[in-house]
Amino acid sequence: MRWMLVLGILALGSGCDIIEPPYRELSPPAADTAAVTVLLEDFTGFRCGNCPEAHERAEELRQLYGDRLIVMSIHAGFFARPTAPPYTYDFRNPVAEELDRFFGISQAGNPNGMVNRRGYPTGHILGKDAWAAAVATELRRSAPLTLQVTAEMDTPSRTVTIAVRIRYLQPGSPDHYLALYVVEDSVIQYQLDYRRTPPDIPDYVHRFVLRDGVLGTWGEQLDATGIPAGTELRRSYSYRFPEAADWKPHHCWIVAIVHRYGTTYDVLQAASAPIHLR
Amino acid sequence: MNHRLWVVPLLGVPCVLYAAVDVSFSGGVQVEARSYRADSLIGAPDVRERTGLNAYAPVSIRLGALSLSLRYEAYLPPLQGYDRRYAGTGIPFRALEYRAGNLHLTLGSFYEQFGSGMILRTYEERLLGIDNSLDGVRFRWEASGIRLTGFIARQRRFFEWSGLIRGVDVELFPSVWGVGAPVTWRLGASVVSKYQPDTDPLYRLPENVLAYAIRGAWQWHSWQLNVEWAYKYNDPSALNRYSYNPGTGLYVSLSGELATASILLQAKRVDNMAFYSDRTASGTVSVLNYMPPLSKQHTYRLATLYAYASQPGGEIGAAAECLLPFPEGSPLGGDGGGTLTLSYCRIHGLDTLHTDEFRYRSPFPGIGKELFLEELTVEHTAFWTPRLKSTVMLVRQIYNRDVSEGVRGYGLIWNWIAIADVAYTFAPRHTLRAEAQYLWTRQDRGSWLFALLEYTISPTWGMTLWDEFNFGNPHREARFHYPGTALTVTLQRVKIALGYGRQRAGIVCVGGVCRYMPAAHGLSVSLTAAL
Repeated sequence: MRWMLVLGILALGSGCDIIEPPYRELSPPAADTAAVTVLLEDFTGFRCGNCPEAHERAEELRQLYGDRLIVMSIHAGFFARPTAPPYTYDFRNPVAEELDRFFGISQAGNPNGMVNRRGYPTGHILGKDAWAAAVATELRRSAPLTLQVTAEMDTPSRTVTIAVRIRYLQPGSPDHYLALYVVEDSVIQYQLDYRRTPPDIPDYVHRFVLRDGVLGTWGEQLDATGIPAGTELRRSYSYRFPEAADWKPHHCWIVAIVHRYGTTYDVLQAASAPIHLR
Repeated sequence: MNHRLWVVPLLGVPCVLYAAVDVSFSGGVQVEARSYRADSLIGAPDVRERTGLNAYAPVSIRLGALSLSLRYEAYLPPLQGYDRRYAGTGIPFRALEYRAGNLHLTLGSFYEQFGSGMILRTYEERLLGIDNSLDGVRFRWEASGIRLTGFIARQRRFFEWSGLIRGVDVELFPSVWGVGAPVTWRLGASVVSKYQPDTDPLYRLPENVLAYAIRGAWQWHSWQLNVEWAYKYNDPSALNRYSYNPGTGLYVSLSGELATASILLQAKRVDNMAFYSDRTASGTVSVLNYMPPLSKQHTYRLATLYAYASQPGGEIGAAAECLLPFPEGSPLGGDGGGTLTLSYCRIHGLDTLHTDEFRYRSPFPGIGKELFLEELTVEHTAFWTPRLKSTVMLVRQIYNRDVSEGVRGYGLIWNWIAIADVAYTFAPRHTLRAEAQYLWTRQDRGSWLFALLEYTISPTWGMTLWDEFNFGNPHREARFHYPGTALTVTLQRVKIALGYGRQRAGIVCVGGVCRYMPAAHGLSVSLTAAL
């Protein structure tokens, strides 16, 4: 009987925290390190009526963390497929679809996302309400490298020159890959929002939409044998906007990530830069 | 001395043990496999792996007071409709149990339910892909008129365990002590608390959330009354949109016999009672509790097209069911007797008023204007002759699709469902069964027809052919057939089923808990074996 009493006291005495207002954190916890920038990938679709809530959640976090958080909206799967008017626009692209298929996100349902692709293959899919904690956790990690990216477009030829600088603080391994994504901010298109009546919003502002991969979906290997600490890598790439693309270059960004391709798929470091026009 | 001689007594040890203590072994294997073909007409997705497989192999060995249970599971990859995060193989259930006298001790995995489950019910339902077992330490102590249960555990989440859950349940049976006769009664109380760290940078979240429930049951002759009240302290989560309101639940049921009729009356009010070990979870992952369903649990295909899912976030409703037996030889009972079942239920949302971003008022009883479900079912079953059996059912439903399926824009679906099921044994062991089902509605995807023929040569063979036809779809190009066929072979303890066909996308529900199953087209293989 004694152990039952102990269990009862444990459950009754220590088992409840009652929170009084205010319910919001007055001072959000500061990140422990200034080195790491986190990538939040929001898998979404313009016919997903529950997705705008997730967009808002991502935007709240972006406002909170500023440059320390990069948000990328990935339109893929069932809810991104164009259908009858007004949902005729096609946000999809092969890179978005491949990421979605590989990580199995839309199969698990939209909205869902990943924070630094951490937890693959079983714990990487996070509902919107898990993003905040996951981002905070990632921000507390230290990055093994620094990553800088700049992008400049030659407007007449619609060709972007991308410069990447990586400095290794710890030794790197052969599974380190650099991936570069073209992202367009503030795309005005339809969006279904179940909270509205009627639910079809014609002028919804779609933030940071993944448009393409400069180096494909997974990028290129940084070194086949591994990289000693202290190494600095400088790479330059050229990317031409597709002829048929209706993207607005002055709304476009380049997102760079170094991730562990073929092993854990974790994103180690991320950076982004707007495309400057000349 | 020849060293091999030592083997003789060693071999004898298990034999002596076997003879000295009670040893038993049980186990089984279940394999469900499917191939997938993309079928853009019905929306069956292009599955990269082309196949899916779920396999379960539970094994249990009992050695006197000790028993060891294991369950191997494989999802290679999970069947469509099951969470992809199950992908992989492992032994997610392992338990060592000790039972002696009044004590029952469990180390490892276990399932537990307190009362009707409003604050704790962990269970496995493979059809829904649910296994929310607990893993830790559980004590149970039973004596005359009293049962105590306590545990501290984590909860299964795919092939891992997460959270920290603590619970205590006390159940008293005063009738055993001669108190209250001739009424047999019992009282119970339970407490469950979960812990999850607050790592959210935006909200101040309770790290420990406690829920408690009290219950009573009284039985007098054939009549039984069950009442349970549950309360949950503030538990902001993904499902309640970070509401800091407490949760409450009340469930009452009364059953008994009036003349020859059996009667069941139920009522339930639930407000903000979604209880998960992980506040960011939704659906059937990491769920800790269970809401007893009021709606009738249908099994016929079209009657499950609009299956209602209990709403732990908030609902209020009542249900009544009456079963009238018809004696053998009566006009409605046939030679072997029959039954007529009438059931009705009506469920509404709660009338609540938001006072700020995080709180709302929810007066009792607070019946909201929004109808979630109204359902009237009349079902007649009779054994007309030893060879002929029939079931006829008529269902009237008003189903709130937006609420039950978490979508928007569909509103209330009004439908009628008529079902006829006739089985005729035309020779010893040879039975032919036919089902005809008709669902009429002008809303959603319109009306449906379903027909099935099943030929059984018992106990070994079974052959089934069916077709489901959405003939009333308002979009003519979407009036699809969903045909299928299956062959079942049962050989002693092994049952093998082969099937091929189209499966429409829809909701599958068990006990008011539902999950979405996508459309599929392909071959299916099922194997079940008991050891």
